[in-house]
Amino acid sequence: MKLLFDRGTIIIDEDLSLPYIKWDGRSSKFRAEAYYYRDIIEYLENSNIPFLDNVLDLIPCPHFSSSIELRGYQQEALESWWISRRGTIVMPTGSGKTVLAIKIIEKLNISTLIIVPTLDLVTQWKNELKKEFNIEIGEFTGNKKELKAITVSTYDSVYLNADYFGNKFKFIIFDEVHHLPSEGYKQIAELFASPFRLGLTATYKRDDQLHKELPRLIGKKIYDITPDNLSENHLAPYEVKKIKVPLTDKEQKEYTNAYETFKSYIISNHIQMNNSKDFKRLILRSGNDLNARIALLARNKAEKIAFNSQNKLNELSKLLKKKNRTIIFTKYNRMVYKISKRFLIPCITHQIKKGERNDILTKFKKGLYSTIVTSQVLNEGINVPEANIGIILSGTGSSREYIQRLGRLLRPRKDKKAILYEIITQNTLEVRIANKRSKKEK
Amino acid sequence: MLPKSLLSYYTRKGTIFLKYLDNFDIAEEILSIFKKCKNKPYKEIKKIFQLYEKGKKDYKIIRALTSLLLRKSKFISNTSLDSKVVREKLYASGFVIDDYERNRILLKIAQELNTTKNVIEDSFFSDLPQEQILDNLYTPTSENLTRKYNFSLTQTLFFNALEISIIIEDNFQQIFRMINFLGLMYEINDKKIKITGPLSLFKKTKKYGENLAKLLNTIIFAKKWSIETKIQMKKSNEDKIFSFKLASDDKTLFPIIKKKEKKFDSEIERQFFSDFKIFAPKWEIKREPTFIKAGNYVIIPDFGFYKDGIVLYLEIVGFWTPEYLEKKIRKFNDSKIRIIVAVDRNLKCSINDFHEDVIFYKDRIPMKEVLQILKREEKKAIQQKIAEKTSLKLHENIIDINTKAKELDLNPEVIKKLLPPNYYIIGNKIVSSLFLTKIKDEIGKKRNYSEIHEILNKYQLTDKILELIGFKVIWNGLIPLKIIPKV
Repeated sequence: MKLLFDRGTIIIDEDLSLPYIKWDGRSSKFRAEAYYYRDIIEYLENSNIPFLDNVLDLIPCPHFSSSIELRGYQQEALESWWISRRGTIVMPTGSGKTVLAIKIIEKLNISTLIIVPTLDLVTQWKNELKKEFNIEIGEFTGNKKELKAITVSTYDSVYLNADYFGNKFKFIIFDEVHHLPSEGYKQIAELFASPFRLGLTATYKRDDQLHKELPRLIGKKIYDITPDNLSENHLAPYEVKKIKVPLTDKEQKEYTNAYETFKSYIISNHIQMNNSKDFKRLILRSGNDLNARIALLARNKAEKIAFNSQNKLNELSKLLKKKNRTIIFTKYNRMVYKISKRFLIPCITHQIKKGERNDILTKFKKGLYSTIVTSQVLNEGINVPEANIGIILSGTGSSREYIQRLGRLLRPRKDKKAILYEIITQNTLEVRIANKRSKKEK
Repeated sequence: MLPKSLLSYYTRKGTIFLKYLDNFDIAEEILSIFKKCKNKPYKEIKKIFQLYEKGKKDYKIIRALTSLLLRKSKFISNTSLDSKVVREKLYASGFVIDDYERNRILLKIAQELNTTKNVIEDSFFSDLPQEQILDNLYTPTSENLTRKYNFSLTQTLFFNALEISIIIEDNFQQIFRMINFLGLMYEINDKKIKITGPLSLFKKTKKYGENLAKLLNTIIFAKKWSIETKIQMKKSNEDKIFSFKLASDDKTLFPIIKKKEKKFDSEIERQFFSDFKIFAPKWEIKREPTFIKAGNYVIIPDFGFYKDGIVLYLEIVGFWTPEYLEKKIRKFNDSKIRIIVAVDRNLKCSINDFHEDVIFYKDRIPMKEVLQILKREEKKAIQQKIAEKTSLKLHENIIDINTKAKELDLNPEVIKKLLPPNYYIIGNKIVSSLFLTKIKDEIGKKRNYSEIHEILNKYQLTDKILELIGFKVIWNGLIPLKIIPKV
């Protein structure tokens, strides 16, 4: 009996009514999904069936070692993962996930693929790995395509190429693993034969509940430590302050107009607006219904007015102090550029090229810049230089999750507490039309 | 390819329909607006089209057409200063809160860079895509733009395809080559090729959608084609599977691909083709005429020969590596259809390797041996048909034998052998006894041969019929004079 890897699947040349396999008439062979590799091998070994295993075609691996010493909870996490060498570790941002992962790679000393969501994270992982192991680290992205014993890649690149290197690594790490269970990406886990799997994240749960797929894809959640459980030395506490600013008269008028257009459509068409699903339905409807589209455009306009209110910038200018180290967050690039241009504050968006971005971050770190403004949630593991003030410019308020995520980037400075300001627009009507109507009906 | 959000379609009873353009009007209008956009910044152009699409129901089509134009046009920065340098200089002295301070810094930097404050303002973000100005316009004809749109629309839909099934009438070589190249797999059912990927065995997956979309080009290159697909899309936030059908007969306006006559793979093939036309003029010859299932592979024979319902294939084996040859031999032996194999004498093959008719060649395929096989097959076919067909039904009173043979896809010899009673062969014609009576009536009392000849000529019949209806021709030397009833 012989096992072979073929484009994300395993081909078996004999029928022994094994679990997980299926007859493929197209190639006249038995076939299994690659992620059952470990199970099939275990089954064959337990059943004393002799077999020739040609599935893995691993990249030759030098010996590597580091001088990393783990903290107590990191050691605990490592030990619980080691039992089955599969599963997800949940740890807050800033608690040393990367360090822990590097230690695990060192302990296994085998070919490893690390999958991350962004190119920035690719660079960051590469630098850390190179620093610790002092070997060349491979990169497989849109820019570079080289596979080395330890290779860092993005979810996008791996998704497109999993067919061709799903058998090249024995160990696979999914950084920010909450990205994995999406419809496309989850196939990465399925197309890889890698028997050892590790997921890392600070936010395990997904709104769409797809995190329930993770145990099947990479193993159970085997370690979970919340920020509260970590001692204060490791994570910085911060305070949240909300600042409400009114719209200018002119803005208020335009806002009301636009919002009424939207509202009257919703009411006259008896549309429920309770959650994001309802909203998605409306978007779909707008493809064929001209009035729905007009309503939607009006709503977007209202949102934009609330978001871009002039008074917010005035409020912002009051909060800017040169002795602080401040990061301004806002979701829209247009706002970022507006702030950057008006206050001459260095900005980072996905449109700003890597060189300039790194330059800005370095200068911020060194203290040459006191303030930066960004639209990118620098949350996903980017080592954001220390800041003690965060300012969020949002429309009518941000989700608790988002605020927490940004808050974790803040550190107290000297004896001053870290503060996260959120500037929101007052008196705008994020109305729950459905609620209102149900009240009326009563 | 278009952004997913610009896919214009509607669904009805589990079938998905794309909103194709069937005239060039919209494209024409958009092009005329676009042509006025030279030197305008990207964000302004977007605004112009936003205004244009306002209140229009087909805004998706408008956006799709503009995105096709913008993608191929060239934008450039509108200042000579390096924005990155300008920004760095402006950031250097820290943030400013009041306008006075801001002004002061801008003036300072302007002086430093030997320019004005306004230029500095303009250069701040002039490297960003939305600030860049349209320099080089991509302006296809409205027809080409429309065709391109329809094609991109289809490709975009295919990104959601779980599988596609196609029927094509030529271009097989290219299709199968592409399928393999794209890492896809196929199943063959009669003339239908169903294309999926390795993982499709286990689950419905859109993973291969992108590669299936890449096949579209090759499929529509065929002269005649039809496609059936299964598309997975969300409806009311739930995944549903829709079917989508498309065929060359629909006459959708797709890009016109210039179809060049395919070159011969080798001089041997070219020579054979022209030899065949000379030496076997009654046979039709087609190049790469079909595909034949052979185990898990397909064979696309180099030539097909057709006559009276007989089909024969010829494959020339000139290329060699031991693995290639071994695979090829296995393929031939696995296929259920008979193929004549012409093997280069230099290859280390023997006649016993193949189950087929084998011809060895050197420099040129020997026509004589090919003709012998054709003749043998023709004979065999005739005998087989005679054995198969016990009777032949005819309903015409008079018909040309070759016409009838073609119609029934039979050799004329078979028709002669199986001629039903009450039917007669006269020269190239088959006539019924009813027809004989009719001729007899037409002749009536006429006896002068020239009159008779006129009648027979009308039906392209020979004198032979006269005997059948009981007449005899009286000759004067070499000239027929008249007819008399046979005694």
